Amino acid sequence: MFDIFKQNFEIISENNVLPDIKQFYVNKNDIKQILIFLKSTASLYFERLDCIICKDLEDKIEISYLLHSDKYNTKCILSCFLEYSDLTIESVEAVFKGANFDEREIYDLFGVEFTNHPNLQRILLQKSFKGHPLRKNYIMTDERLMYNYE
Amino acid sequence: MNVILTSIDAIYNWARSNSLWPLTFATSCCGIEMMSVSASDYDIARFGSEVFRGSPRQADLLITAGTITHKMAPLLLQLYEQMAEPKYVIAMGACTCTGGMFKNASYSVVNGVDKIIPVDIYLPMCPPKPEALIDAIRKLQKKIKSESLSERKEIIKSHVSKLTLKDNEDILTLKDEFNIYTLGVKNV
Repeated sequence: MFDIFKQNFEIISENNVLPDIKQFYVNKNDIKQILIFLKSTASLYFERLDCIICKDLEDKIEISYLLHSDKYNTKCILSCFLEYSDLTIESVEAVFKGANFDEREIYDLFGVEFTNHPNLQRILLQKSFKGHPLRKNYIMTDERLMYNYE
Repeated sequence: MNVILTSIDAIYNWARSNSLWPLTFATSCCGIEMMSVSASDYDIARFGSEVFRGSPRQADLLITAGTITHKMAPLLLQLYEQMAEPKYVIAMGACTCTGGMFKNASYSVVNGVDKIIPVDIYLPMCPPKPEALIDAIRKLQKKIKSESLSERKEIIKSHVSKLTLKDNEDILTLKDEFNIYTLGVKNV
């Protein structure tokens, strides 16, 4: 069922996460185009974005989009890598409205910049918080919160 | 004078300790146990504490049922300062006693609610059973019964919060999304 998808876009690698769930690694610049394609193609029809997963692999960051097709009851995962030197990726808020808060949360906790996002600011932590706490190299050094550790 | 005061104390404390109205303040799973205590199975009404008030002005008892995050801390402090004297605090659950499982270098959790406000009764466990909360309330009642009107001034002095507000207006208008700056930094 993914043949049309493979013909149209460059896929770096693919593997089976579960017997019925495929994961595709693609270039980060193609993500938005691919999501539009997967959503609008009648034979795929991945209409829903379940979640966006962000992993810190210490030298780079992996972002995965978990998609679900209500019509065919299938899932697939679309992944890409971001280098630490360039932590930007295009926002998919225009394709899936629900990505808005997910992307804000990833920005909050991992510090990934989403370009063209309508309202990219911290969502869970207070605005004045320094750093991105879910990164592996994060150390709690905020003096204002040190009353906690006396 | 003391003879009159002690007999007034007995009546006054009996009335106070048997009408402890808690504040509706539940920030996570301990809140479920607190609800269970107020429901018919455990029935906190037997001890006169069934009236959970929505306003801190009408409450005598603050049960901090659940984890307090740095973002929540200014609001907890504000609620505590809005409560009218005499007021009491039960730190319910491991999170509010010491930080519990978030103790080690958490970026978001206050390690013990006693860093912010003075606490009367500590009730660890994760979460405490309803019986344990009833026990804590009974212990608090015993504590209230041992107090005297002549000691009231000293007790009120000890009810100053551990952190000072740098800018009172900031916390009232909740500028900058409950910015932790409004709390000031160091213990007094």
